Amino acid sequence: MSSNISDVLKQLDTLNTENGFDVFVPSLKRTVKFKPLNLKQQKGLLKSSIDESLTKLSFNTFFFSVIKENILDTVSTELLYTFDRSAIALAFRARGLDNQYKVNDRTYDLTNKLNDIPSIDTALQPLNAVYEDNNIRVTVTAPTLIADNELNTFALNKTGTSTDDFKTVISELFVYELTKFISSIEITNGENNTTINFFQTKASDRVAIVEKLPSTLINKILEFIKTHREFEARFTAIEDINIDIDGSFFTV
Amino acid sequence: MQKFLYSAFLPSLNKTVSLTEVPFSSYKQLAKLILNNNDEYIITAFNEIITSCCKNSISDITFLDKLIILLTIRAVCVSPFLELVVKHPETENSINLSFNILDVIDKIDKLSLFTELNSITVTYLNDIKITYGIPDEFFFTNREDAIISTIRKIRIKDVDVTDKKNELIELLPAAVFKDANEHINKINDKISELTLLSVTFSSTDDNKNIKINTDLFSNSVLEFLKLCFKRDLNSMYELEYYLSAKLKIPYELISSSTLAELTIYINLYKEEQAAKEKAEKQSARNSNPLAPRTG
Repeated sequence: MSSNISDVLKQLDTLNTENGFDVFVPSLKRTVKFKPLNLKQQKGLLKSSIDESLTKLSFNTFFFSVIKENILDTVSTELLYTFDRSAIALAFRARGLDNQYKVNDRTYDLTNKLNDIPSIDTALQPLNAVYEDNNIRVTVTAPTLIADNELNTFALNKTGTSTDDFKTVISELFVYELTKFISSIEITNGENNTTINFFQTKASDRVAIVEKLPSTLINKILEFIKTHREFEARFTAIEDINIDIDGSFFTV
Repeated sequence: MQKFLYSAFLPSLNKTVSLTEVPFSSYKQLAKLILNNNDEYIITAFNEIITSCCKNSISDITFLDKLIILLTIRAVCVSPFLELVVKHPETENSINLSFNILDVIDKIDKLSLFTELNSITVTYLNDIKITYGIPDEFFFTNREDAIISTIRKIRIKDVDVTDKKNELIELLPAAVFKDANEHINKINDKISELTLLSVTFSSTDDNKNIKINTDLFSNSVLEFLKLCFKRDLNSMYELEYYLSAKLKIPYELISSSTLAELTIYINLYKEEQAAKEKAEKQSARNSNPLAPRTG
């Protein structure tokens, strides 16, 4: 005997909730419960790898929606950082799909990496820094998932409709990457101080401001970004390789 | 009066089903569809023939059972032989070839996948039971549909919800898709051993040979069925015309008979005509013994 569709959907949702799995979230230094990936989400992730042109913009945007949809514990996703995304993605893949990851005819066990993640010390990694150049003071902050998503969505809209050549798109993406890491800019002009809080400024204005920053400051910010991206890569390093977390990672 | 029935053994159900004949009127429609080459309509027509001819319940049928049913129908209602004219790739000479359709049915019967891959149940999230099997269709427009077709049963908390498959499929755990993908790859590996039609012209150059293998990711099975049921429409109209206009056979009888039966009628008519001509010539010679002999 079969029951009606809304009852079955409720049952499926209950089963997903009851069978949630723990994921160690590095920035929180504790485990958080998540629902396993469903087929629709997996298809969305795979599609994002097909849509992808230059970066992981589509994947990261879609994966952020999956995180928000599947998180079971009462944790604000606004508190999570981009390096948490790698840990969560690894757990989704290993627990919900397959813990074996094959690359170049070699198979890696993702469970080993998941067990290793809590030992990566996040406290040693600075999440903020302040750089000054003459009368400009820039505060950089490691991007949270929400800040990352905001710029990714903006970039997707811009590059998706753009007819610009490859070089122009690359330079635009470079500015978006810088913008993601800036939380505020303080400009001193004589006795006047102007502070722009990037969290309260719309993406297009932020990008316009960053484009005007002097190269000396940009180089300092880039150094911070480089160090931060290296730190992020530790969450995806497994034996002799670094796992590329994008839509294709969910193709099994 | 009990209608004429014949049988086909369906390996996945491990049972024999009774089949009725395909009348000329239905076969003519199928021949038209094949000529028009719209795969969607052709598949629908094949499925309708299966449903209308099969007297037993066939709800859990696989595409291989469907193939057996259609080939049995072809063998009984048209001819057990598939006759083809092919050009030799080197000499370009036309060659008449004949294949016994019953041999293909035998080969399908012997496949081991019916016991190994037609009912594998896996449990997900404790209470979702998915039974993977052999797909029920022999042609898919995309790989995803083929993968999902291996999901034959869905039970949630011991309730069969297979009838809601389309609504539920995307909400099932992602691991289901992974397992379904693995399952269809295993099936495809097994059925790739099944050659539906093979002509060897060269032992050294395989490109010169003709081979139709079974493959779920291509339209090979559908193309083979089209080849089996393809018919020259003009010859069908001619047959219909001669039978009704010359032999005065009622149209109801023509449309309800099989092509094999109508071929018997027309062959009888041809034999009769030939005998008549021979008798007339003999009679002409008898009445004029000096007339030159012809023929």
